[in-house]
Amino acid sequence: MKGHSPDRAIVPADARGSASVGVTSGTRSGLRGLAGAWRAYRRDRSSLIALVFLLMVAGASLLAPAIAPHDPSDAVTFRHAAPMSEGLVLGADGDGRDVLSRLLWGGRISLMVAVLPTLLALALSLVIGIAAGYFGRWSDHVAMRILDMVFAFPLVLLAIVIASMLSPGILTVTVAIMVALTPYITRLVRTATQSVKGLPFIEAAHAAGAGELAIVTRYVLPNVLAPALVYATTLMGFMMVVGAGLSFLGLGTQPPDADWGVMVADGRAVLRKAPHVTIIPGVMIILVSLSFAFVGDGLRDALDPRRRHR
Amino acid sequence: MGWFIAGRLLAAIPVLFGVSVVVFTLLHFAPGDVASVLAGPMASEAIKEAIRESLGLNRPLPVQFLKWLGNLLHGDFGTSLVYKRPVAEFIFEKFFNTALMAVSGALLACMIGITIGIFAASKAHSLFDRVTMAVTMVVGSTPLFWLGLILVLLFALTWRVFPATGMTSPVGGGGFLDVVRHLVLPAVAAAMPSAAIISRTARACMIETLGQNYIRVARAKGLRRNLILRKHAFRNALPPIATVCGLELAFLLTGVFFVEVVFAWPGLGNALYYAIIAHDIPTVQAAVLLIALSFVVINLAVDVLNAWLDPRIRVSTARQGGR
Amino acid sequence: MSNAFTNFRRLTLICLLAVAGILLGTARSPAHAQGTLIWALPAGASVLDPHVTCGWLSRGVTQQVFESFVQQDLSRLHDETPAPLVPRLAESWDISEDGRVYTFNLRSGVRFHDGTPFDAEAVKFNFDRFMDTEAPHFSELAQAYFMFAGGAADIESYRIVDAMTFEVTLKARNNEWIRSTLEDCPTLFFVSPAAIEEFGNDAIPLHPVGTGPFKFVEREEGVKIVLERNDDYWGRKAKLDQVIYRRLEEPATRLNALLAGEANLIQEPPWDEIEGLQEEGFVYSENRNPPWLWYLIFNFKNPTMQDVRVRKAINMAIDREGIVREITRNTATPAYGMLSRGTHAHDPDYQGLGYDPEGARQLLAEAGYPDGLEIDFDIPQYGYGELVEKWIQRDLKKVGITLNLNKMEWLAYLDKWNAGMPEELEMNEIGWGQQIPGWLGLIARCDRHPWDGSNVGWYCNPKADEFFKKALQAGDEAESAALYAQANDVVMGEDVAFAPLYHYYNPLVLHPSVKGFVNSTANWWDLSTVWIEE
Repeated sequence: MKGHSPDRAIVPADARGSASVGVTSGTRSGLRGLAGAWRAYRRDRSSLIALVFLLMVAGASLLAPAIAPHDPSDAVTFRHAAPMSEGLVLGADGDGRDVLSRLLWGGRISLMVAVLPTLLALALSLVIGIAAGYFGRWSDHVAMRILDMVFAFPLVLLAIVIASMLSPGILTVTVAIMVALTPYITRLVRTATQSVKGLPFIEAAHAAGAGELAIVTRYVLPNVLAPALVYATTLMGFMMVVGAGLSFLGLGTQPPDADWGVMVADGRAVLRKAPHVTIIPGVMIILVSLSFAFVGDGLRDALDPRRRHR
Repeated sequence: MGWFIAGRLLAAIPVLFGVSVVVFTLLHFAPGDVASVLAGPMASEAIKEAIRESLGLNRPLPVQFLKWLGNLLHGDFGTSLVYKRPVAEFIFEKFFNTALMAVSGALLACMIGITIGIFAASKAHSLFDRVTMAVTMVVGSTPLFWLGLILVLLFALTWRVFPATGMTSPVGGGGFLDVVRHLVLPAVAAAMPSAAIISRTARACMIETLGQNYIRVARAKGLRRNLILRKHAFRNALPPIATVCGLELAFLLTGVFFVEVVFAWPGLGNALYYAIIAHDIPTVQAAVLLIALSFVVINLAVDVLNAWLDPRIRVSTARQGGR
Repeated sequence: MSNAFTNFRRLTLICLLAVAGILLGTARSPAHAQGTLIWALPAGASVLDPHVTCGWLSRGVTQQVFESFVQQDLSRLHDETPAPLVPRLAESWDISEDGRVYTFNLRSGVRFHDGTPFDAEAVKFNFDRFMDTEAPHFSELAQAYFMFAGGAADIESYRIVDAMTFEVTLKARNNEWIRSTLEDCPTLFFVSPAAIEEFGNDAIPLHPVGTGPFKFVEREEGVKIVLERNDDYWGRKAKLDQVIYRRLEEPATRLNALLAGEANLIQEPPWDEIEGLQEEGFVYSENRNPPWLWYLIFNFKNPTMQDVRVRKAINMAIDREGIVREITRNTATPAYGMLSRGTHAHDPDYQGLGYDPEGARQLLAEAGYPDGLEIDFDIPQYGYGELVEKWIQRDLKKVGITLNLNKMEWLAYLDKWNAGMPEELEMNEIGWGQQIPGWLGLIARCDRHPWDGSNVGWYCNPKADEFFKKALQAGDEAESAALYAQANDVVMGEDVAFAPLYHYYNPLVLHPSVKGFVNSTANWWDLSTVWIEE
């Protein structure tokens, strides 16, 4: 079963082949460890390219207010679904809005939906997972029973239910993804914590008279963080796809704002006449989601000393 | 094994109860008012009040919940506020339609994924392997709804070989072949990303088994490559592959909602979406419960299948006593 | 197990062959079977009980199944407004001199779809349903609907004169009473008494049994409603075998269904596609005299908006021609008055306040806002974005008004809209109307402030009310039209209580095989004249 933790398909495509992360023995935190990890990461060409691409997309999206040629929600031309031309590098959509500008502005939301809720879930999972894994007993029981309940909700369903209470919007998507991911990451953190807990250096720390809190923050957390972060990174790509899907359904980003899912949805009305309006944001979703997967792979290899020297 | 299954099913009951309480409570705090939905835009307050009264929406929340729960135990899901009709009369059909697409998608994904995976593994690191793996990487990251739109554009609007909407032809439809014809595009759209994931898993597992000692021995004994592939390697790589297939099915159960919207498929996804817009709480309840229940059942089935395929797991899960 | 791989390969092969077979064997589906109209609805129709329903979509379905005493002539071209009343279940009707007593001579030999004969008893049974609290099948819900806009508030009494004669007495003369019973919220359609007795008030929506040219067959929730021709219809029988209403909410999905032959009439096509579809041979149909319009409502409780110069300036600042040309793609025409084109009171020559940004700026300066002002505007949130609202925002910016758009989810919006505007809000909007000009009174009369009506801007001018009252009692249509014109002059000319935007043409696109369809002046259509020609 190596390499296929059941998490994988429930939050399905997530993994794209990288859900399981072994806990490294020993504490390889600190600058020297990071530098080593970076050296190892750099060696993996595809991961490096993916990282550069991601940074470029993120940079361009962040700079959208400065570099977008037009207002993303205002019609710039009366030629609806205009083809690519000078001044409209990627053409216009069915409402005459500049596709490039919408892509740049939409990238902000789409990237945020991929990253923010996953990081929030990671933070939440670290707290719950370490509490459950390290302290065990009733905290473990309570946490696991609650998580069981969330497990019974497929992510999409959860998002639909949350959207129906909060009313659709970015907040809904963020909350839904965060809640849905927490059990998965928590389970990983919990398992990792349990295996770290049994390692000799923890016992040594106990013997040296370190307090529980100190042990958790100084020894457990650094060792649990690496695999959890890797897992979270591999999830981000899939969350971008899910977030776009929720927007496509009308549960996510609301007009006049647009993320890439909304752009695909808007493109439907002119699918025959101007397929580029639908295709371009779709391709961006694929490329960015792919990049997250590669970056996750690279991170995993870089942070795992056993793999590093392969 | 029987105890294992029974235990897991029992454990699901409090989970489902919790789910229903949460959903029931939360939906009542949703914005908007069911009476406004039912009465229409311009209706007076008197009309809305009459509607609330007739639906029992003026009673306290716990009373409404207990009544609902009591009915549920008698197999009564309540009456749809919008359609004025028992939810049980139509919700199972919607569920079946969704399951039909999810199961077909998952089957298709398994067949395509395993085939590609095995071929790629048998020619590991060849050009074929590298190209297919790159393709699966891309397809695995493709949004279902986007794929669906592209398929509609090509196969329904441009080449007109498959229908673009619905599950049956509006006129004279409903036969087996008619449904299959409508099913092809959505099922393919649903299957592709899953097939990509399965193929990667299948490839990895096959390569791992092919590298093991007993295969090397078999090869040294001069057994034919095909025989080795199917008799030894595939069999041993099957449990993890089956697991991934099962989990992809679990995903597709709600993942196909995205495809349903593109193809106007009369499934649970569309029904749930409309019900939420219209604040049709009994319908939402039933849909959510059905999905949660089948989700639990599929996950359980995957565990059982795994235990059955791989005796080592059976022993270890038995020892763990459940989860 | 040992053969798992071989079996698996065989299975794959079989499946591939099956797919290929399906592809080849049935690639050509019967695009349009003989005589079936497949109508793509843009949203779900509500329940099919005409007495407890609001909404144009369900009215479009019940129109085919049920009938009333009379109906507007829906077979007329849309250029003749309003559609004259023609007999249906009443062969003729007399109105007393004082306009209070209506005597309906019922058509004999008519049966409901379930075989129940139609007579004065059946009519009384239907009236009892919403009027007589003692009746066994009285429905409070139906009463609430009919009191609101179904004409029940006007009724003093009703009685059976003889088996085929029914009489209704009004409290006071109301020229528009009979037309008001034909509106959509609710409709005075006659439902089979036997069916109501059998299924009860709760389940009757699932068994709509009327006397109309089509019979209800089935309804698949959220998917479709199926009707079939009533071969025993008393009048000219319908030509179609079947009508299927499909619910396809996405404009793109409706378009796909039309292109792929899975629908042959779509409502609300994507505006951008209309031209292309016509080039491909599809038929575009519109109603140039829709009985409703889209308008902004000013809040008379708000200090800023109490200044008529501000209200005028907003009207003058909006480039309506631009909106209908660039946004609605000419599926609408600008509105300057508040009388919709679908009523007899509409005056095509009415001028109103035209586009004049310079004049608007001047008025604002006079009103004490030389440096501009800020206005809050509540708007509902649609799927397709707020194109029109953003256009208005841009237009107002040009004259110095900063418009804040407060978007709200549709239901939340309606709840707030129905309650009337709070003092701090400057304006909101809605699209609404009826085939009777008296509708303007519903949104402008002093006694129609919420919750007694839909005058949500708290406008009140007794002078206008006087015209509304007189119009209902006018001697003939010309006289009433003149009175409404005067009312409109007060509401729009003097007081500028609203900013009408445009009349929307309710666009439809038909497959060329659909023949005999007439786009009526109502928001619903008579499908008995339609046939499919291969």
